[in-house]
Amino acid sequence: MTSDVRALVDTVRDGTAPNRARLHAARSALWALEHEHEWTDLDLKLARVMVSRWLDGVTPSSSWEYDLVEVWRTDRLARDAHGASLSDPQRLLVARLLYDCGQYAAAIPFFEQAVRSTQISAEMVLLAAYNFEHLGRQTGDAGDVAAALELLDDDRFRTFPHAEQMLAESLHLRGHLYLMQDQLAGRHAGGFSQLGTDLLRQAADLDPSYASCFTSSYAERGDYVRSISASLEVLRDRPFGLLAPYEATIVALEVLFYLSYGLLSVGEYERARLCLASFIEAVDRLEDDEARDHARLFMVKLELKRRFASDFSTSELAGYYAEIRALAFSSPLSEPVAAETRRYERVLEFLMALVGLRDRLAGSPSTDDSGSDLLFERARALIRTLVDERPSLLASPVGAVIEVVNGEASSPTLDGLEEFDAVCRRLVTPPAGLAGILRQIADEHDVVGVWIDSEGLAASVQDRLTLPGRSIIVHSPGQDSLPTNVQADGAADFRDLLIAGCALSLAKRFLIDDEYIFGLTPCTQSPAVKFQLARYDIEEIRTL
Amino acid sequence: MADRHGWDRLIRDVEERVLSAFSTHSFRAAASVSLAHGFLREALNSCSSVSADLEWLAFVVPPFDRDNWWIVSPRDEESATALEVLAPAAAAARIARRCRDLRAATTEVRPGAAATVSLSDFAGWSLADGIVQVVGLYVNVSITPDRPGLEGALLLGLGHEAGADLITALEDGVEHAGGCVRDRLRLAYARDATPVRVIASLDDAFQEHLGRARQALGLREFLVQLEGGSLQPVDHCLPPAAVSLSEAATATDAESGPDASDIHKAFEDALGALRPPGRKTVIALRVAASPSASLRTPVGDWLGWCEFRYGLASLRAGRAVLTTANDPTTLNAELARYARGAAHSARGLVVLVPGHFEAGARLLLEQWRETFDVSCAIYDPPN
Repeated sequence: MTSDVRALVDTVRDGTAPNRARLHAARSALWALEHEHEWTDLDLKLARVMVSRWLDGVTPSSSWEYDLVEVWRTDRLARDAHGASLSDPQRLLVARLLYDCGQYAAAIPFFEQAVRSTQISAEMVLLAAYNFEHLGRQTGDAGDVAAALELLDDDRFRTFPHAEQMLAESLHLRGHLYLMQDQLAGRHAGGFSQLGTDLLRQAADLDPSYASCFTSSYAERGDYVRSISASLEVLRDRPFGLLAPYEATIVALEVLFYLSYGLLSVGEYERARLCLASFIEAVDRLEDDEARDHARLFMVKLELKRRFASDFSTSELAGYYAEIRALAFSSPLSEPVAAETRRYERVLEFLMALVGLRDRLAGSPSTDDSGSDLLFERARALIRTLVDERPSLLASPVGAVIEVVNGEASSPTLDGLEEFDAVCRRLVTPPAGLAGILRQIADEHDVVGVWIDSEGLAASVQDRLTLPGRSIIVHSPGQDSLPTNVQADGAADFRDLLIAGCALSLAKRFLIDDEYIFGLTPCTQSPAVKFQLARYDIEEIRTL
Repeated sequence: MADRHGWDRLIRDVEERVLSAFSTHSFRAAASVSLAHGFLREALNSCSSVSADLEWLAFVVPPFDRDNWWIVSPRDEESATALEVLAPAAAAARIARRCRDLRAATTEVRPGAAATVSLSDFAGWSLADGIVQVVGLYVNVSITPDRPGLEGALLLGLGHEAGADLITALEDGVEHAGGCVRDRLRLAYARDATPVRVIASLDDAFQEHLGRARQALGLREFLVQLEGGSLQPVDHCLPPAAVSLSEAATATDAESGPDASDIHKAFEDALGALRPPGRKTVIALRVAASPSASLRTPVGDWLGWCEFRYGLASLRAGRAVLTTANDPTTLNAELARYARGAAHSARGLVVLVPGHFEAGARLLLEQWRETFDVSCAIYDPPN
């Protein structure tokens, strides 16, 4: 590779260079490489993937994924036919690229063979373990965690150069893995989380780069008080002062970030806000946009958590929505945070529709159904999202609808609710059983609806449609609703009220739940992730 | 279509239902306590400091307060302590059952030996009106086969209705569990053998419930000991150098009301000036015109904070007993107990008096001047 091409590649990789210059340099470099006789088709594909990765966020990637898939497929076909088509070093390069693209499952076979070699570096073993770790977070498969732990044997790491640093990193990763194992194992965890915290503490003692991993490990276990306490202790003692100044600043900021998370989780909103504001100000100075966006997400979370949804105006909610939509998490390691951001989008879309409809109904009832149609669609989207992605929110029942029918109880008949079975239980009862069922289910469900189809039935149960201290959504033709209840005007209105209520219950659960979102540590340049980042260079291709 | 009022009702109802449910059962096994101020933090850590000896630790949590979450810190996995989070209504029966089980287990496992069941610790606190009302309660359970029952000391305080319910229920529960609990408690207090540790903040409702509990349990003496240890409130731990955190600390300090040292100095001055040799001193300290209002500061409970610092300083020196009274009956009973000199050698009794009871307290204290040196130190926090 000529020095001219080298210079072009350096420009591509220079994050401080103007985007146009980087794009131009990329085109020129690839054009030059295509005209190098020694460069094979495979080499060029790998080069294109690298360039695309370096330009991630600058330009939309178009073909690089296909290039990588093609390399992967070619190798697989070749292996199936007559052994490996790529050398081990080439395979490791492909593994790193797949890892960097977030293609963790596809990367496994490329890592697999290489990590068994005695020649492999500690960095590559760690990257292979991180590959399993990230895959485990995606799939929730404890087998991936076990596979990662298997790679991280202390004795093995003591033999590598820079043994102490490698050992610290090994402890760090194992700490996170045990914490994850604890989450995956649930009730049968048996002390994994404590082990995880202990290992992270040891890692932080050896290398203060991991200080925030240790302090936040308590929060990951749900022990926010200890997380706050540990964060304050670290900020007071400043063990990270041993690091280089820039790294020390980053670690201090990370601890501050997790301190704010802990404070937010225990309801110390003002302190949390102050910490987040300090964090945002500092990372703005460091021009770390992704870290800033982490904190902006938490600022929105704070506002939504601390207030009743019904107290928000639509313009306030729209402001939060715009804020959320403006966030960007481009790193594959931040994908869990990006996913959480999308969930907040769904919640805000629903709340805007809900509050918007309520406000439009001020004064006189509206006959315009567009608001309720929108609300129903938003509620449906939110329910689907949270049921799929946050099943823990369904730990207690959400809604129930009781159909009052003549004669013996039979199957529910009310249309349009089948798809909401996960959040809305359906019951059928004769009039005589209504009071008993209401008493039975009221304590467990956040939303209760009673559907009565005929005027005769409605008259017979009118005096039983009460629940102390709460309202029931009622369809009761020919009857005036009790002041404490919410009267639906027809089947569509009943369904809208019921589903909106269920969606609101889930939204509120989501907002007050402090589920730990494991993502990349908020600062992209964190010394804590120094072994998590895949590194590669175009020159490497021709030396393989 | 349902009208606006219907939608309003639905929205508010669902939100309150969710929040209420959140307070009585957690979505997951983690949880917390609001760090409304260092006071509660102290309570939590006091629990932690004894938890290694515990077999069981129950946290009683109040109905949800919209501005504060509760969460109970989970115990370490290596600890044998079992953690339970209980709603007030369910607490008493569970506590009673647990005490009974512990006693049975001990007798069975170590027949004939002087066995001690691990400390059964009950800590409860309540968050209401955006503040921490209460309290840690520690029940020392020391059971031997020949003397089953609670030999330790028990007291609790809880604010508002949750506290009242719990106290009533706990009385019944303990009675059923121990059989001779009240006798033991009286005995323990008569011997002055057992410390009672209560961490309390003050308000009217708390005082009322505390008084009721004390009477119900037949305790002759009740020492309120506010423990400090090495723990500091959150804002005092913030490191000045850490990325603008000093600004945060300053801001919260400014909001938190008067410096506790002021109130402490008032107390010290009064105590120093009014204590002739061989005489006991009573100081009534008006802590706020309206305690419940003063508690609603942006950072929580400055009154509790003052009390914490105040009580800590005086009790460390072994000089004073800190108590509270918000009605004549309670104050009279406090003074009578103190006059009898039951069980402690403190040279001063400090009664924190809410503003509305100040005049009544002054009148009553006048009647005790032959027995005590009396001082009424007035301290009004700025709004």
